[in-house]
Amino acid sequence: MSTRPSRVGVQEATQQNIKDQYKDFTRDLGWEPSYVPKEEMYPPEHAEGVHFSDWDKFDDPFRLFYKDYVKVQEKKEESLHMVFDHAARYDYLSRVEATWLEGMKLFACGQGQTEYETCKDHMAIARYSPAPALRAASLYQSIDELRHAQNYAHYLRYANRKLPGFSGWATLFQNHWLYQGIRHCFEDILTANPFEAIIAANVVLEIGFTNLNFVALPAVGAANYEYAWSQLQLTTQSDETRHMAIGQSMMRTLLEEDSRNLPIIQGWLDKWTWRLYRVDALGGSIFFDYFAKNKVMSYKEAFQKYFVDDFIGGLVADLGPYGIKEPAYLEYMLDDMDQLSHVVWKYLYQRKDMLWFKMFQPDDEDREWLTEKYPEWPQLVGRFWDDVAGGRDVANAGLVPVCNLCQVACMFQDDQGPMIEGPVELEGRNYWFCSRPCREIFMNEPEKYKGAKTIVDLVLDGAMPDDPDEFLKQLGINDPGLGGDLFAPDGVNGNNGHGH
Amino acid sequence: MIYALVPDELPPRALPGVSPESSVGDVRVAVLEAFKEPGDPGAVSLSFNGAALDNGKSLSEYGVEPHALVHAVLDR
Repeated sequence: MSTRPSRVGVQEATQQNIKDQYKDFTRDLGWEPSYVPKEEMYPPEHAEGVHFSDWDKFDDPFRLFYKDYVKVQEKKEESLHMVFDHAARYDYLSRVEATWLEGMKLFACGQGQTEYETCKDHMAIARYSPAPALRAASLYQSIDELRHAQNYAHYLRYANRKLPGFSGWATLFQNHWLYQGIRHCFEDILTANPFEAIIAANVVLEIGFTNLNFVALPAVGAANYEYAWSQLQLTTQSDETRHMAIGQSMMRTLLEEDSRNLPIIQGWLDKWTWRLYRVDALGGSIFFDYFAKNKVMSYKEAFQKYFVDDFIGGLVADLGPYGIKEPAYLEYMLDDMDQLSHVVWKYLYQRKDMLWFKMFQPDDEDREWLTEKYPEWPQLVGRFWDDVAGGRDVANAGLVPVCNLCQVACMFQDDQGPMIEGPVELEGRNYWFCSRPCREIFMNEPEKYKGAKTIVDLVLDGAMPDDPDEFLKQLGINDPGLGGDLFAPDGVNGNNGHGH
Repeated sequence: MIYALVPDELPPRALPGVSPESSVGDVRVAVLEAFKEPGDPGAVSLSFNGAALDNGKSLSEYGVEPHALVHAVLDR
């Protein structure tokens, strides 16, 4: 009797085939260069102390072929634009709450451009990562981010045809002082080594903050009748799942490979949770607590659920066995929660004539909600808003110390008092910091940060005019028809007529 | 730049024209202007590094340098 040779099952053969094919299309693209030494092509400093014996063993959790990727993304685009077109047919922006629309002028411009910045970050990772699998994964991600940026451009184009305040977004992002912190933060990621950049973008930003921005915030947007934008956020989030997996997989792989990687990874986690918290929470918090006329949840509640419980809790549960701990500055973030959105809103209101979107006072209903969610609200800013309601001139276009790391005004306090640190002298120059975390991060890498100048540094150096009107004119962002008070009685900067 | 920090009124505000050579009396006036507060400059309490500032002296006598943070309490 003849014996039949054992055969590989169909499923096993197919999987093997896909794995080999994927290897050919991705990891085997990491050829040995013949015209330059490999160290020149992938300089070792781009691994910045990370210990890994064989970069070819580094695996990509998503074995994705380009043609499959395009098919999936095409379907997502079809769904999104169907909603957009439908909404446009019904002139949906005329139904969105007026206060929320003002916020969109700030959010859509910032978010669209940061998607483009993240595209650049991942193109840099795709170029410089010593691990071929990470190069392939980052290339896909850079295309994802470009898709998100283009969808924001589509949104802004539509809004610009309907309403004032949505034009010139590229100039605003590049030049306006309000975006300086975001620009600085994303350039910091762009100039980081590929592994640090993945911790920043794929772990902290994509896992930590996108659920806040792309799941929680769309729910608030929808409650304010901003349906098309909410859909835009959700389609963006659908890509983030893949990005998150890349970040988690990279952290786990490095931790499993060599215990010497632990302090390096923990250090990047500490740094980037704080860096991204400063820019993301600053902008995001005022949408939950102020721009939303119909409020769904407070930022403090959303932050606890999505960032602290889901992100930090999940991360520590998953990677705690390797030694990963809660980020070092988490306590500072939690201490910040009771004041964050309120001091930011007050700060912006005092500078409303330098903005391209309109600000407004909390009304009685808002005050009641804010006091319920933040019992310290009346002590913190209640008197300020009483003064505003009483007609007191609260405008303040003068100079204030701006943090030399996060580029945000030094306006925060804790239960010990103001958190401002400075002036700190370094090589004959004076620096200010909004908080101890910003000072520590700066001092850990002074060579990287010491050369940058805040907008206030530029004014004090004479490179920018100190007159607010001249200042805005020089930056090309002075439009007297924009900014001001949404509900001003004189009608000059009054309600734009939208909303319920 | 020399900034004035008032409790419960963050961020601090710049005091244009104030330098280490300025008298403490001039600084009191500058603080009221920066915070748009009417009132008596004499009622503004100033301190630097924990030391109270007296009218007859200049800021430099208290060790205030061209970049500094002066604490102020306004009589509101």
